[in-house]
Amino acid sequence: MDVLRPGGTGPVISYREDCQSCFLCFLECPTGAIRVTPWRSFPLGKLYGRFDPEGKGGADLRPAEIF
Amino acid sequence: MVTVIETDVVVVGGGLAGVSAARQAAESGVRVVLLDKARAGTSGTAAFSAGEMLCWIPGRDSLEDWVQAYLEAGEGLNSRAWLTMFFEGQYRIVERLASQGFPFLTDASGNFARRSGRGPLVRCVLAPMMTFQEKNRQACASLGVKILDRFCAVEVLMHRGEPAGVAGFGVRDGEVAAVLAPSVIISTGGCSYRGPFFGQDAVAGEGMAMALGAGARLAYMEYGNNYDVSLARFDTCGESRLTIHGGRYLNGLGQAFLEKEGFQDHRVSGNELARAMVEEVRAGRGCIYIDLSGFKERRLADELTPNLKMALDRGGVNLFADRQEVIPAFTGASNASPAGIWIDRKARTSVAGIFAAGDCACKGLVTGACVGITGVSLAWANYTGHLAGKSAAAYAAEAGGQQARFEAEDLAGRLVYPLGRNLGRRPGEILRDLGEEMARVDVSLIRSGARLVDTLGRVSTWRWELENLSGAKDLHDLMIWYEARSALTVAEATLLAAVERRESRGGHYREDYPSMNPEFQYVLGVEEINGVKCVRPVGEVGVTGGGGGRN
Repeated sequence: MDVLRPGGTGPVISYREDCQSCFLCFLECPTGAIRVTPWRSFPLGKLYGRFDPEGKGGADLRPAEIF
Repeated sequence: MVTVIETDVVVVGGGLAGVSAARQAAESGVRVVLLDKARAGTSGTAAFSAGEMLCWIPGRDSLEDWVQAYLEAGEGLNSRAWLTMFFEGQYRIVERLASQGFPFLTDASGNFARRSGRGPLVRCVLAPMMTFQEKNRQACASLGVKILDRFCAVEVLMHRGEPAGVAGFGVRDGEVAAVLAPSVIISTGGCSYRGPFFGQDAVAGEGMAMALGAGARLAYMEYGNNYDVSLARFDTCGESRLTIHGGRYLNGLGQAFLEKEGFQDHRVSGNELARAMVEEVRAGRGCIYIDLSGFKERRLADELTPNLKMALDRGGVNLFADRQEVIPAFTGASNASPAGIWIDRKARTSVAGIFAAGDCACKGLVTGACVGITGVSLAWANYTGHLAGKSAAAYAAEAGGQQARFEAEDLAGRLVYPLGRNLGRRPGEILRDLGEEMARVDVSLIRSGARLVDTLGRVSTWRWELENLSGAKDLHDLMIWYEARSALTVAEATLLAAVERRESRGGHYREDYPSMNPEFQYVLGVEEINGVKCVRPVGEVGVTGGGGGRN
């Protein structure tokens, strides 16, 4: 959604948070200049909350742990 | 300065339901304007879906068997009349669309190919939705539908208690416009709080909030708590469908925990699966994994979720070689959630002249209390989209070309007032906090009255912060501001209804009321009266068959 916009030196991704991970820009880019990675880009928080106080459920992934 | 556009039917939202509604209305011979905050056709969740559309087929399926299976799964909150109408109507529409060249996969005999899914009795026809939606959009254009992409609709304009059209602004140019029409169709999708999951990143409940603000009733809101499954490390959603062909869920001890409970992995609804996952984690047997080593037809996985395959290939991940950690993926009042705007059998809301379709219309009328049935969302969008288009066109025709009126005074200033204000956090930050709060399994999946009230307090604080402090730095941020406000409204309605339903039924589970209470066998509605949200029963669906209201 409206994530690629004209920039000074070419199209730029202005609103990273709006990427819908549809990979269409990646698929349709005529020169292969766009690469979209599937990796989760931000944490999910304490998903299991009080049911998993020690965080062993594995849902509280942080970007630093991912990349 | 306000641009005024006059038409007969205005459709808000350009996903499957909205584009179908616009096409159907235009085929009826009235003027139609279609609005979308992104690009009509590829907007919303349908275009990114696996294209599984629930479809009963006469001669191949028993209608009575289907109705019975869904009544049982609905646990007293859905209607035989609605189910019969939905199954028969959906098949007629699919058949007509296929004859018009809309893409549906067929088997070697030329019959509709179908696949199973999660839920009581699920057989889905398969439509490649990107292609499908492009054709849908092109059909609209050829019928003369005026399509306004990048238009953020904000409110239904009301004049003396009747809808006069829709107001909003251009996301690119900031131009404020009023699209005047006697018939308004709301089809903006559900509300996943801009969740971080594939295909769910854009739906924020705008339609539900607009309808509520215009005096319409929401229903089944306590079931705005849909969960699916996501790979933990990727922004994906819907991996549970892979269990249909041999995938299994394992706990941290390597045990197939659903089988242990007597379930077949692919038969449980999304929320049942999520609850079982939480119980494993709670008992110290987490993390949870999906094991696809027994997957029978790997080609199917690529067909079912081509974008997922592409993503994983790029990430160097082989789903079939290594077990992958999974987590419950909260998509809220979206996807296979029963929650939404209350409609009757002509897709009319409780306010004459306003119609609703797709994920923002309450599909609880057919799913009842069951949250997370495969294919029901696309089928509902397809069916109610056509229904709303037809009904709205007829309503506009009855109006006899009489143009709706509204007072343009101060509209421009009123719509863009957060622009340039810089007193608090950005709206995206508030929306992120809200999404994380609502996604907590101890808020939305395993509930208690105390925790629901606690979360309601936080939501109220965030609403105050948004409305009184938070500003938008540009037009895009202004759109997010409105999304945040809408999502807050949906959250409040969801939490209030969940507090009120003091029992456990289907996808709504209360620790403090763990059993089903026959006295609660009615649908809860949420309305806004004098600015206050009120929750009250809207009658037994089985008796009224859905509908009610002022129409």
